[in-house]
Amino acid sequence: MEMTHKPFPSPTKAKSVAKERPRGFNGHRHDKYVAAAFLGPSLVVLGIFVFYPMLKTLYLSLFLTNNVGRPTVFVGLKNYGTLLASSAYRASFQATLIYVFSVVVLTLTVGVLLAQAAVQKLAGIRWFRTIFSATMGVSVSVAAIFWLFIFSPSVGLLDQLAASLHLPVINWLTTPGWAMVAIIVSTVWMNLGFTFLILFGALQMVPTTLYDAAAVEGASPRYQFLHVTLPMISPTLFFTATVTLIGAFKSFGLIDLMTAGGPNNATNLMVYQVYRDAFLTGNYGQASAESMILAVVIAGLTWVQFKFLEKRVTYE
Amino acid sequence: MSIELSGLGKTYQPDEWVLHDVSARIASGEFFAIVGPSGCGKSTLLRMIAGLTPITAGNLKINGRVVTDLPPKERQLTMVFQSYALFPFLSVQANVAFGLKARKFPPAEIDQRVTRAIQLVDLTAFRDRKPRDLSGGQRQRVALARAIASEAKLCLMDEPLSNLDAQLRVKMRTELRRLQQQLGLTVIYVTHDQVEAMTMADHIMVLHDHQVQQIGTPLDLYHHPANTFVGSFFGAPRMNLLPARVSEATELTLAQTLKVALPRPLPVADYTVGIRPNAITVLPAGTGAPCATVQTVEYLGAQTLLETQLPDGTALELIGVAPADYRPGDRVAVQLTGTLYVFDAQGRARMTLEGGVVHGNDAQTVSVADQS
Repeated sequence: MEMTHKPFPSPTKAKSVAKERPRGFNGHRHDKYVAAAFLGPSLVVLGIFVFYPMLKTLYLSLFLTNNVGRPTVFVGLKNYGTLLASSAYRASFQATLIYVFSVVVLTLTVGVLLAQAAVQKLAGIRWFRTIFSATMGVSVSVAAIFWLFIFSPSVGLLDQLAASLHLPVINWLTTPGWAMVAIIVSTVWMNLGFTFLILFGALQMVPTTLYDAAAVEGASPRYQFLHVTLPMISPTLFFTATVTLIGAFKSFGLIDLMTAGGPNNATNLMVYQVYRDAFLTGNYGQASAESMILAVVIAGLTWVQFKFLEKRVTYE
Repeated sequence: MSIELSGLGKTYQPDEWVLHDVSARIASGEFFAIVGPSGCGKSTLLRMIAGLTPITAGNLKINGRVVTDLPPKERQLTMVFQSYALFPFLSVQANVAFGLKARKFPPAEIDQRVTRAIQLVDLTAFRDRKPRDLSGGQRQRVALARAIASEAKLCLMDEPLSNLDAQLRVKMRTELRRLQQQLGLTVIYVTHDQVEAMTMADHIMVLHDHQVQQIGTPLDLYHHPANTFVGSFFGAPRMNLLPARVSEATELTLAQTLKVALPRPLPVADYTVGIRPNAITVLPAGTGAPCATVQTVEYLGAQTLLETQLPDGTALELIGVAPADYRPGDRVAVQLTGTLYVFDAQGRARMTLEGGVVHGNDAQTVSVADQS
């Protein structure tokens, strides 16, 4: 006989149910159906849209392909070899690391500062909280246009400002170094809404008596920030760092719309190179190999983050 | 470490006093309790002394130095919080060392002070544990150790025992008192628990309605309450407050039933009379004394509390005579044998009638203290 299923049995009840349930084949088979019914839909969706493409990418990375992406000649690891030997690819790799590192560090730093500012009890602070989190609601294309206005040569906001202050005018998006700065700034700006919101939430969770105790014990505001605030929000910081890192590796929209990988490939990040090889030159085999390398790099760095940074995280 | 509060006041909105005109002198080495019901402003007062809440009016002196506008860290005090305020990410010893590190003491001294403080609260075996791995009582002791390690001579405590279970709370009362005397600390202790205040404090400040009601020793407050609030706040079972009226100069009638002769005339008016249950003797009905009807019976073991009603409907709490078996509906006779406190219509003490007051018209009083 089957027990009636309650949606949330208490732990003790669950135990007694497990005891009373017939141990025979029927009971187990029933469990399996229930499990399949719950897991099935997401397994199907993940299978079609994640696992299959992943395996297909791995497969394609071992072939040369024709211009519609059908594999033609099996070449083994040759696609990978070509990439690793290519100085252009190594440059793209390097640019990606610079970009990702800067984006993560700046996003977290500015995010923490904004959140710290927003928890202060000041008049009108609610407006600032809304403004700080506003970029969460901005689409990439809108952001790109916004930043293009700011960075565009001579008529852009920044250059007009520079001109009025008699500072040298910079061709932001057409000078290799500055183009990188421009997309880093834009990406950080895009990230800030989410990062701010999460960190703001974390800061609000820190009990105020901890600051009271620290103040009475003689800790300056700076000391309190470093020795109370940061450790208390370290789990959230770690989460944000991981999410931002992975997100930065996958940045595409802003780059495509603002620099298209230029000038002179200075902002040609790994993802963008994948896009170019696959959809502009039709070199699907090579693009697949690049995708695999990117996936491995992201997984590796995330692992490193967990391995070394998580030790400094203190969960309560 | 003497502390002087003169006319301290706090408002958040103009003219809405959360605390008004609080004055007190606390001598060095004293255990000073601030008691009152929740919302009376006692924690606010403590935070004002600590420097965590700005003082709106008045002056605060610690050891003769005006500290009214100084930040907490320059007031040379330490504080134990109700929630303990331990840093969850630090071990016991790091928690205790927190303030010393923030103040940049040399490592050797930090180590020595921390070790001693942890020893004093008997937590040496737990020094490397995180707060989450400690029981409530142990966490409380970590908070104490942190206060001890700072070696500040003034320690503020904000309901430090209220998160502990009843048994541990009783044990910690003695423990705290012992530590305070051993270390020669001046302690300002906030609590809503009158028993805690009575058992631990040298002096007690009673706060109610944003104002100081009375300051005195525990016995003072118990025996000479300045008003009805203090009278009913201290002592368990609580003081009965009966409506009373002086109809002729020396005749006081309680609850329209019990008549008491006053040794000295009081103006004809309505009064409130406070009588503690232990000041009333319960006799079997039919002895000629006025009767009350038992409503509920509470057995406490050593005592039996009777909730009774006088003929005019006034509630009166009594202590039953030990072996008797009372039931709701029983009638008992009452005789006033202990101290009576006469308060005026505003609740201020006017007169104390001490010792065996005989009810009825031929009432006599043994001694009289005039407080008007």
